[in-house]
Amino acid sequence: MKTLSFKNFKVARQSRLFFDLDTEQDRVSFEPGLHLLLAPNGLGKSTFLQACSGLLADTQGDLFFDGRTVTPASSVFYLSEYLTLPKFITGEEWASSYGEADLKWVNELRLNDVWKKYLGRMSQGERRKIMWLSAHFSKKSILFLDEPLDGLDLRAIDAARGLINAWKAEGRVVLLVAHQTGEIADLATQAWVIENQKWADWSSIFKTPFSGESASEVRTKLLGHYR
Amino acid sequence: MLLLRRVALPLNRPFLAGCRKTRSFAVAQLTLRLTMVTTKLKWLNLYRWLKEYIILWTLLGSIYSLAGAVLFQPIFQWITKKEPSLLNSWLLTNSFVIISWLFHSFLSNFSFKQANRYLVKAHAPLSTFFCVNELRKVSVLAVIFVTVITGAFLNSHSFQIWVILAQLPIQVSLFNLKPWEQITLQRSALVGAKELLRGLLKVQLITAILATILVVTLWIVQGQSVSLAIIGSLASGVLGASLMSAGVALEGDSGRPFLVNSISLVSGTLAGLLCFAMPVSLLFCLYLYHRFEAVTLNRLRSIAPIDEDTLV
Repeated sequence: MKTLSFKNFKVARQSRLFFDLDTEQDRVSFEPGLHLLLAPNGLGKSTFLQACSGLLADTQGDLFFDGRTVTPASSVFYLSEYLTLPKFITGEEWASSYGEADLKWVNELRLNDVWKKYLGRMSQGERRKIMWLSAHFSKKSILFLDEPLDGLDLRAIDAARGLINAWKAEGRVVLLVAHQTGEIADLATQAWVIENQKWADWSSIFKTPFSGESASEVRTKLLGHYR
Repeated sequence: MLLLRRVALPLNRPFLAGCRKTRSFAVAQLTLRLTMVTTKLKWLNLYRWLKEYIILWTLLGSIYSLAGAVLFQPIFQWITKKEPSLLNSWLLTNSFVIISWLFHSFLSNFSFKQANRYLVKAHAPLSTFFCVNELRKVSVLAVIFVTVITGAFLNSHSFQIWVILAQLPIQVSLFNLKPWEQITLQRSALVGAKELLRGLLKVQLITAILATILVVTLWIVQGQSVSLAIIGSLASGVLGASLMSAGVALEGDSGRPFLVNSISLVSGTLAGLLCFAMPVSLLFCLYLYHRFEAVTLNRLRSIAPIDEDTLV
């Protein structure tokens, strides 16, 4: 199975070490499916995604996918929680530049009316939907999504759930950081929490599978873990 | 109005004792209160911003603009046949940058709607997006217009000044560079800097070539003698200036506005005038641009924190 794995992978920012991961030692690897990264603010979730996407020069070590070294430019799509976009480029132009446009999903996300509008004239939620489409059109095998649910309405979240299911069916690895996980928790293949500068899967920490947890149980257990 | 009274009146209770609580009075009090709070926060923000950046910006700004003025002094002397003072040279250099900033500030929020077929079909690289986003701005047309009108006043003894004037479009685009670093990082962290430089170069080449064609046409219409040799020198000068002004765009504390503008203007002017005088120098400029692309390949990683939503 195609998995995302690490070898001496050290994530640091401004001399502060956040993560030190090695798949052989720590048994941390991400299989195809949706992985939720759950941790409080400031522990390095976004930094981890940025490091894996090649954004941070301080990163050391290697990242492998399917046994090969990951080249971020060709196999990784990174969606930042902050959307910096050009004002005078249309949603259609931006999303289509990542790959072949599939109008079915434009319709699902109810973007038909604004599809040919400038990004600068869209609402924040509409821009976020364009980025969901970009992730889908990119066909990249690894998707790093940082707070992608921010600003989405209920119908958009429903469409986003459809996209996640499509990605799971295509065998893509999706690492998603979100604080309000209730909307998509049931789709998660695995959830991960931080333990001693490493990611640890939910069942190894709480001794129960994540799939069986209710939203309130997740909340209570996380609060207890990070107290 | 009930809300206004609930918010505004308690804030000013000591002043309102015994006063008639009319609607207009409450509105005036709330407005005054909000204005005071906003003003206080603005000054506080300005003070903290200055505290954070004053050393960096003052020091680097002084170094770059003075270096620019010193380098421009002999150029101005060569062009005007008079020796300008360092102060005049400094003022002239900075006025060029300030004019560009004015174009950027007042006109870059307006756009022309253009056909999008090319972009959608081409799966375009980031440099094309930068280029198209810039070219759709009203500010670009205004810059070309002003540059051409100013250039029309040049005569056969001062054609070389066109090499400096033709850099106005890239000076305006340079003010957008810092926010574009974030887009570039998110889209293609590893090769983004190269794409950004190419985007700048594309904008500058398109606008400068268009402006040069227009200004040469105007000179010919005015009856000035414009030989093929002069056109060749101008083309070489404009290309050289474009290459070098775009090539150094990620220097100057990695593309900070005003700082990078000075560096870009100086290097573009030097290269442009050199290429105007010796067109073969264009090859050297091409080589240097290629080197800058290679040197800055990894420049964006870690230097541009992604920390806010921005529209560029």
